[in-house]
Amino acid sequence: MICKSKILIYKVLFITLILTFFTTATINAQLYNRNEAVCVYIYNFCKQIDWNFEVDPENFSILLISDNEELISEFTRFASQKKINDLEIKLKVQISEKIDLENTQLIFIDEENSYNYFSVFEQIQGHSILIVSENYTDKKFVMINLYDADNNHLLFEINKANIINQGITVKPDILLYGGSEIDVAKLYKDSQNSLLGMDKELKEFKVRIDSINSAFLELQTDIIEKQKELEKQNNLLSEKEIKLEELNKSVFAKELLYKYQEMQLKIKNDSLFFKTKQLSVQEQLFDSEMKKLDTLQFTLNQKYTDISEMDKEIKTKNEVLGLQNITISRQRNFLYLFTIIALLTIIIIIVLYKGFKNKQRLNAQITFRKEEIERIIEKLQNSNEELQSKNEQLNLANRKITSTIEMLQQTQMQLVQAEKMASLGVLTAGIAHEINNPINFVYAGINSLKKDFDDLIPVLDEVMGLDKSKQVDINQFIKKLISLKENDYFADSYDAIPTTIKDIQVGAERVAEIVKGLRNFSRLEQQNWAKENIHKGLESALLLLKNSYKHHVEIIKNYDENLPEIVCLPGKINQVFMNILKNAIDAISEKGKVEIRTSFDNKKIYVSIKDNGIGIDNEIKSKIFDPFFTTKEIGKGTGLGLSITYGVIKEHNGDVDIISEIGKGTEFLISLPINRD
Amino acid sequence: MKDNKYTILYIDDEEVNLRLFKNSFRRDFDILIASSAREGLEILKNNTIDVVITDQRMPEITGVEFLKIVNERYPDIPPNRLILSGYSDADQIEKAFNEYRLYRFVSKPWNVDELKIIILEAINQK
Repeated sequence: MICKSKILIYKVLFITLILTFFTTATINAQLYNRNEAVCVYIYNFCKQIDWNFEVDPENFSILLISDNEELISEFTRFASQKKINDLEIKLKVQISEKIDLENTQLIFIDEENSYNYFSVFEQIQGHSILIVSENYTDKKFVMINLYDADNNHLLFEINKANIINQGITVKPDILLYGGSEIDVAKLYKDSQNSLLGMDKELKEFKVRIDSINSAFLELQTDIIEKQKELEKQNNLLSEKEIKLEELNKSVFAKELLYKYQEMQLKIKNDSLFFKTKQLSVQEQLFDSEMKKLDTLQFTLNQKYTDISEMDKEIKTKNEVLGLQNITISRQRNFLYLFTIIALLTIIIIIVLYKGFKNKQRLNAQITFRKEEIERIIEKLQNSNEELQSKNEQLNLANRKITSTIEMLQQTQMQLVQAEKMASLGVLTAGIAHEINNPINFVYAGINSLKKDFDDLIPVLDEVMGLDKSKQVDINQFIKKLISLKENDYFADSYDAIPTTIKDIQVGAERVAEIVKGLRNFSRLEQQNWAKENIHKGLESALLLLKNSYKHHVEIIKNYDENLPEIVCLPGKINQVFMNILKNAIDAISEKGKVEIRTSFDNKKIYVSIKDNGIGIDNEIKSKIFDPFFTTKEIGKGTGLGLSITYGVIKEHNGDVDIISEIGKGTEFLISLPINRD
Repeated sequence: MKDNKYTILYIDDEEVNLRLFKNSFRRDFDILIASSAREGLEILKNNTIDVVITDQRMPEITGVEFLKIVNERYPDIPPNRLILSGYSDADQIEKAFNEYRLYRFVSKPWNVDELKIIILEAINQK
């Protein structure tokens, strides 16, 4: 049995082996045929194709891009046996992407390496190289493509356009070998259609992409917004966290406080408890005390009733006593009365007795006194006579005194007059000094003018001598005039006359001004109150003092232009200003300045005269208004100036103040009321 | 001496006075005028003067002070010629007579003829 099965197995194995052998053989044969077919095709192609460029004159190079060993061996066998165009076939094998194009005329790419076809195709551009491909699907790029047809025949197809592009011409007989031409136009159209289709797709894609982009941008902005919101929320959150922490802290603190307070409360409760206990104890004590108090109260009440009873008794007894007292007092009174009467009678007796005695004495005295009085009367009469004589003497003395008073008054008036004369003297000196110069102008000027005019007279005489009737030799006349003119003095006099006349004018004007000032000033005697602008008085005083301050004192005037007129005695006020200004100028020895300032308010005007001269001592200041007080040498001042000034100011109800400092200067501040009331 | 006339220097701070003086005496003398003592000193430096006449009351340097300076600088020339006219200040004038060779004091207003005689006397008073 086992032998039989073994034999069967061996049979089966043998058959299968043989089958496989045959199949492989056939396959090999087929394969063998196929490779051979490929070689044959290629050989035939090369025969039918014109290479326009002779690349290698000696060899025909074929490049195989394949790793099929059998194919390669077939090709090598083929190459060794056959010749193309009388050229030896040279074979190269490469399977790298980058191929060696040198001296290659044909490239064969097998199906397995078809993925490199396109790169090879690109690399051969510009070279006359033919590519034969195997089963390459993209008909646009093939040159000659071998393909397996349905009936397992190997056929080929040609893309003429590509071949021509590479500079290779194909003989049309090539198709006899079993090839077909690829319809390039259809290919082109197909590719166009596919491109259009792709275009459309692309556009659709673009639209979609755009929409997606816009959606994307929207989303982005959304995201940004949401991010910002998120940030904000984060910030808020962090703020809230911080607040929460703070709250926690405060809560914690409050808890602590609460605990502390609880503890305190406990303590207080304990103390309270203790105190209530104490209180209860106290209450008990208090109750006991209350009871005691009640008993005491009861006893007290009892005592009160006792007392009231006793009071009543006392009252009755008092009444009785009172009655008794009355009777006693009545009796006593009678007794007193009696004693008084007795005493009185005794006193009367005594007094009467004494009086009698006195009377006697007095009488004696009276007679004595009478004699004395008579003596005194005699004396008085004597002294009366004496008094009378003395009276007469006193009268005499009185008369003498009044006469001396009169004399003194006269001297005072004389002195006042002298002061007036002195001030007048100052006045006249001022006038004299002032007038001196201008008068000189007039006087000298007139003299000068006369002489100058005399020098012109000869010429004028000649002119005057001219007469319409007389004949005159013009040349001679002119000669004479010229000779007269050349007289030395003529020209000078002619030039001098206008200026001389002007100088005389100046002099005359100045004199007139001074006289006006003088007239203004001399209202010394005007006794009537009048309204006057005191600036005029200041100006006329300054004019008269001009020569004394001209060279060494600068006068600065600060007049208030709205200064109102005041009711005053103008002449006397002018004298006041004259005095004070003169003093100010005299106080300045070398060089200095006097400042005059006027101002006012609604009741008074104020005049300040300030110098920067020698100044006034405090001791002297107090005496300065005293009559006959002067600091000047004998003969230089009467000492009455300021006292008169003071009198005038007081007459006007005004005031004068002095502010002074030794070495720095003095200010006289005068205030005068605007109206007289 | 120009044209045989004597030269007079007259000093006064009033221009009008200077003009009048010059005009009054130009026929008789050669007049040089100065409006201040300083100017006068300048003129003295550069000219020969026969008589000097000066006003007293002037700013800065008075007539007498001027004479003092002249006396110091030019003790001999011009000879005995100094005359003062115008405002008077008695002790100053006395000093000038005694110490500064003041010849005469003439007060304003001047009489031209009298003054002429006095000037000639002063010049001839060697």
